[in-house]
Amino acid sequence: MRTLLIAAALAACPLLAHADDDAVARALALQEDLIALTEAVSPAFVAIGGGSGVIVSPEGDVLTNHHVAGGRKIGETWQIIGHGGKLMTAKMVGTDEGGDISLLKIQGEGPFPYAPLGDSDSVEVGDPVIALGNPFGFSKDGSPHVTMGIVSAVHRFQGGYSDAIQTDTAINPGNSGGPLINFDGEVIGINGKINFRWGNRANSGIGYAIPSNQIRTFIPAFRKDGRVDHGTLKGVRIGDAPGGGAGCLVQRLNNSSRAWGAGLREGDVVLEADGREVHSAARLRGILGTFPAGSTVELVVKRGDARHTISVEIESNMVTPRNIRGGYLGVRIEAHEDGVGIASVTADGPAAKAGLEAGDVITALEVDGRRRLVKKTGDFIAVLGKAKPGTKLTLIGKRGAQDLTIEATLGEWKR
Amino acid sequence: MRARTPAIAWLALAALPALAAPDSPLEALDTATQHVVQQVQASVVSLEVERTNYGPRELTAPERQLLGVVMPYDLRYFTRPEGPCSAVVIGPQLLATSTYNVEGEGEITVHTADGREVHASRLGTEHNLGVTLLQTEEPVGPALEMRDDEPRVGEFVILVARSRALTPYVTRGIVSGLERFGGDAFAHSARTNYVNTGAVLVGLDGRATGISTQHGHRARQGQNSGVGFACSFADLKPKLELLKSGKDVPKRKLPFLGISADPETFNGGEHGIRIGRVVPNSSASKSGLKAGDWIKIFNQVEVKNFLELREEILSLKIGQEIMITIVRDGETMDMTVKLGSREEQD
Repeated sequence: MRTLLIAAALAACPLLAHADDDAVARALALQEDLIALTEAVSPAFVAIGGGSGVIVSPEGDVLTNHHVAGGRKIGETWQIIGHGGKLMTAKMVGTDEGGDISLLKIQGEGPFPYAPLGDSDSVEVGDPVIALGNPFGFSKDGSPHVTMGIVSAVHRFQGGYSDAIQTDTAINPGNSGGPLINFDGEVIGINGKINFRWGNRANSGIGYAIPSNQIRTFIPAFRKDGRVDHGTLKGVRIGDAPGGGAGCLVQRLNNSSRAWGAGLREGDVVLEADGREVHSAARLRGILGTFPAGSTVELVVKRGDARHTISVEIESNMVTPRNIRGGYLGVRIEAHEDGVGIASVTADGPAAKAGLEAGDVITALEVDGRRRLVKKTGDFIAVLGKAKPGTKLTLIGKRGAQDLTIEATLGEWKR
Repeated sequence: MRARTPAIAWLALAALPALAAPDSPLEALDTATQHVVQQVQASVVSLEVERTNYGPRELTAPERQLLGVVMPYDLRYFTRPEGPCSAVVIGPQLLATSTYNVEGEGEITVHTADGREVHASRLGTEHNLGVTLLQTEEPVGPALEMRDDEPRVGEFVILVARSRALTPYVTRGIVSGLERFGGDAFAHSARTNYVNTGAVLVGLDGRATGISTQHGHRARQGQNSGVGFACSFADLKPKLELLKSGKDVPKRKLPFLGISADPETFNGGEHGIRIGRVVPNSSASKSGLKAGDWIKIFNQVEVKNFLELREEILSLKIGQEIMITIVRDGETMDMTVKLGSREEQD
């Protein structure tokens, strides 16, 4: 409204016209800052596989997403493309599958151009940020694609992205693993996830980054242990505080759990974790997820009128992979009104070898002559989770209007 | 390494007395945007194009795989829907627009900024840049001053379009990348869609930087993914005289081998390219290359990675015969490949 009035008054009022020139001058100054920022941080960008990454130290430490680089074992190498199309080799140092972060180290003499890790806890909603990446793979020369937006929300709990920075900066497939950068040229997060619907894998204005402070906590563990899981409390059911008050409520507690051993009890209200305020069950899970499994975290709880401080060692949030995962099929699935849609098929995986295609819709699975209807993705996962590698699996459904029956032999998960 | 920070400027602004305080830089950006829109909006027109041969069709399985979509739920994924699109006045009775807007033979009606309807006809098309010139039967607005130099990454761009209305239609972003699609386009983040394809991208200084164009399948970028493309006026200007005379600039043909690399290629342990897929009817398939083959030597150059192989192919000529050395099932073999062009496959 205000701007409309200015526009209407513009022609008649020389003073406002002057103010307009002033606005243009200051917007141009902002643009010069943005160009300088872009030029400063772009050399730190690297392309890895189909995704992105960023160099965060002069020694050549590279951060990316686990879902970009995690296919390699620790010690194996990736060819990455750096500034000016320069090809480099980077070795897998460590990875956190649950938290979707991998650390790699460029082989060779530094110093490398880098963008330092910033303080993600000082990030505020509304802060302007830029993202570097290679969305849809349109860059062929190692130069990043730069987009700008603002921080939309902080401390968002999104499962594995347990303390995510939400941004409206355009992030798309191919941006994964690339940095979210503040106007001081610091990496405040690693972009890795977007919300989209109807299979249209493109930005909707909602993207998530893993915060730099969480990553900084994980780096020593990556160097020491390679594979690191992120932590959580097990054997505890946590709900929001009664009446929507502060903290979250310990609803049930297994008395063989570590939390019990550490002194947590049913009915306790958790007010703080690691000195950070807890306002919901999701936020508690989120704070715990910023630590590697095996870390000790201090909780402040209210029990009756008393306050207690409890130190508890958190455990891996990963369910033992072999138990839940069963046999490996090599597909990504998504919900579909007729059953389960095959969103993509991993090249050379069991599904690809059997001839399954993205776009197929599966309505039933058959193992050992027993047919199970699949109405939702959970049904599909449940059948696969129980099937061992080597199992013959029959997938029944539709390809377009045609009936489809495909037999695949499940493989082993690589870990 | 660290960028100059505008934080100090923000602090200084906050310290000024409230009444005299100018807007924050982002507010200044909004004011500047409005200023620019006022300057150029009369030069942006809306096009109504009679769509004749654009029937809906289902997506093929490879297209769905490419897009990552499950079902052909939107049958018009690849078709230009009915509805308005934009064009830019660049000379007396002369418009430039995205070729995508005006493909086919359908009648073109221009809706001007002052509400008139004027008939337009097609002149020449630059098929690499994706731009077509149109001639209007009478003047439709003031011609924009076209910028001579290429934009810089990080520049703000204001995409000014018109949707058959008296007010313009504006989105804003930044220049995201240069030299895309073989140098035919630059990438920007102003939100794009069917209406503002063919519209003008203007800088904060009011200079017209380029025209919003359609490169690749829009659907693959998502309708509104924040990844858009444009042809710069710096690239278009040298072609204008030819296009005005009604002549086209054809799509240049690039040499094409017809393989995609298997992800195994990038393991880094082994030199060469492992072929993931061979494009049917391509020179690769005609010469007998198969998925799973490792290309070790290409035209006397040791193949280290896909990027270098691609550069090597693009440096050669269509029709040229190339010696290659491959490893198939552990056995080393030499073969000859005659390079074709990508268009031959389409």
